[in-house]
Amino acid sequence: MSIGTTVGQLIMDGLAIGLVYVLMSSGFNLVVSVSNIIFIAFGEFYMLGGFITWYVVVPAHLPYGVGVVVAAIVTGILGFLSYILLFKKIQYVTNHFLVNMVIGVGIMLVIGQGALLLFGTDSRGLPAVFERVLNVGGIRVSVDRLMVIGIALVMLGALHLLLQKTRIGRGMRAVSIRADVATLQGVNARQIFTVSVAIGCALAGLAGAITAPLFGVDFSMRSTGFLVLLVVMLGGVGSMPGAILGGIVFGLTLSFGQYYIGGGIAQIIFFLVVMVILIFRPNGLLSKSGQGAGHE
Amino acid sequence: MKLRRKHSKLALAVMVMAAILAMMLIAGCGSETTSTTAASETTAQPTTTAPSATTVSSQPSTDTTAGGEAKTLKVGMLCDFGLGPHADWKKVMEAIIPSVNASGGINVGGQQYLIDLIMYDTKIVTGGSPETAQSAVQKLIDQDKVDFILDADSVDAWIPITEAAGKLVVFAGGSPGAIKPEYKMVFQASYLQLMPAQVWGWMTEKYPDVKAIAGAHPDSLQGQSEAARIADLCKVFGQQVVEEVSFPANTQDFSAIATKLISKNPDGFSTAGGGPVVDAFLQKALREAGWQGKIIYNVMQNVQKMKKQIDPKYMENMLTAVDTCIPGSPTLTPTQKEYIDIYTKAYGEYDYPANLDGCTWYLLRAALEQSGSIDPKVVAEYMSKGMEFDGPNGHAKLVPRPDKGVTRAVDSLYQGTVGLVRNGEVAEQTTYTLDEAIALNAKAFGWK
Repeated sequence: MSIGTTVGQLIMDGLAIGLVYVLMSSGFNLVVSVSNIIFIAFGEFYMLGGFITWYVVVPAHLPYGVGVVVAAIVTGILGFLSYILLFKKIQYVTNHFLVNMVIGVGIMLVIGQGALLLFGTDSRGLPAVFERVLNVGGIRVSVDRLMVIGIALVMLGALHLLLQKTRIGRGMRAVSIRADVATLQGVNARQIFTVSVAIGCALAGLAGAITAPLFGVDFSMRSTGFLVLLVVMLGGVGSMPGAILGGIVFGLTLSFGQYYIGGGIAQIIFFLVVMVILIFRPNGLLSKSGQGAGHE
Repeated sequence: MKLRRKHSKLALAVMVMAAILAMMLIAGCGSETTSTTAASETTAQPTTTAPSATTVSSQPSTDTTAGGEAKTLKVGMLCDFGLGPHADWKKVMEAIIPSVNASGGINVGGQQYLIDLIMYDTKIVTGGSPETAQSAVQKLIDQDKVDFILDADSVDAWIPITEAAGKLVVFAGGSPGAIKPEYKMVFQASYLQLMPAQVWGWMTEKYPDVKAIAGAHPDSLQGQSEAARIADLCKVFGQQVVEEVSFPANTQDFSAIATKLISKNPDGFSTAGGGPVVDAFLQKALREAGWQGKIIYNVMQNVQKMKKQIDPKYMENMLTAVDTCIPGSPTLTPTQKEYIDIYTKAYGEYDYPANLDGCTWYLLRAALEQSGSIDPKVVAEYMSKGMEFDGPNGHAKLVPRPDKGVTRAVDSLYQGTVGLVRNGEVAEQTTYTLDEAIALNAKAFGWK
């Protein structure tokens, strides 16, 4: 394999997992910048998305596409409920951050232990959606992997359109800048918060659903939540382009790191990259000054 | 300024999450906190003897049986309940022990003993540190007063403790460190250490053109041990390891690893130690990356479990030790048949549980019954002479490990069956007698 082909192959290898993290980081950013909630249970929603898809596809024998949609809807509804029942009550309390963290940890534990009881420790695989593997100029990529890339890009495009072209998206942007002023202008901030948390959680569930045929479904998927936070910090809190950049840097670091250095060191390198970047740019690579401060 | 404040909150959130993860993974002491109902509800009367232990028994020690009043023999059990194969073991033992007790227990020197099995979760892999396992074994010795301990794969973390206390240990993992001349009370019950030579020997004979081997193993004690074993086997049987990749146990995407492996154009590929999911997705990644090699060597994997993860086509030509514990198989031994029956009765169906760890119970039971003693030193002495036993993996014999300087019988040599996966099913290739198995291991390990 020539160097050019190897590099091309590694880019394709890293792109899918990178875009999955882009998807989750975008959801996280949406939640934190609009509703000012640090939703640390993203890994749990990612895992739930995978398990829901497995149940829809394997025991229920429904098409994979149905599984993806159901996973996104169910995790979206759970996100909606977690806001209505929990986060809404504490959004403006004193020591908001600490209470936020306690609730987040509570959600992590409830979903994590609940999943352990419901699903057990056994991991499960999903049949490939598309069996084919394409070979383009020596670069091999499975159609399933392309599907993940495609869905992630479409969802990111849809999220962009939602934020830029729709009334609710404008509301989200307004609330993220100054919620009180947006409310005076007729924006229903509570509704916006609810929708943003639901969409954010749905994106995490969707990410779990689309990766299920590639990597299987496993209880350990919940540990990805920690990496999502790192990706967000790398790109910049509240910055959608930052989420994209952070996710792709993460995916490529893993891919090239695994090839040239070794799997374990690749993860360490990513942590080091994040640390170094944060030393020179404490707000992340692409954060905008003043953005996402609507609740201060 | 405000953004910076939010960013610092996020940094704090990262630290909180890292702390939570660390606490969940590392801390915790003998962490199984709930008592477990034994599989057979009609006979099970579990009692919790320690706050964090799970006890499985069947009948109280005052029960009488045909042989007179039965006594109770406490047996400790250690494994990481968070890992699928070990969770299977827990399930298996929760079926077996009540069944044994319901039939009057085991007969040791003319005395019936009901078994009181006390389990602890070691978190040795999922927790990533040895402290929980060490604490659990200390509890078994000091608090639960057991003389016999069954273990999956945490033995390296605490073997000096049990040796000093004179407790007999039967373990199943591929631990390279527990078999040493200075340890007198520890025995290996599974085929993990001595079956590879049989499978590799068969491969060398049938596939002489397989010369370049690539391996990928998780960065864990077991993974490293497997990688070292492959290197040793290649040296002895004339192959060459052209690439060896070590990866973190939480790796999800193996595509880049596969790209690296196939860049060396290996004839054969070896993986083990990652469990059915990791091994399965690794093999899938390799085939998707375009690898056209002949043989995948994965001696310890449960093929039925792997088939639940990936399309069987990715397992084609996987060389493995055959799990002969298959319902309806004409080669089933009475012990295997009983094992399947107990499991099926308890859970409704035999779903091919991982049965490597289960061998520990069968070796211990045979040792107790054959030696006629419950004194751990007497039992260890008897085992050291080289006893034979039957378990879910078939017939086996304890043999010495002169390659490790151990002259007493400590490791289990199985009458192993080599299989190749063809069209999603394991096709049996050959079954080695104990003598043939000894000869292959003698070659692999330089035994005289």
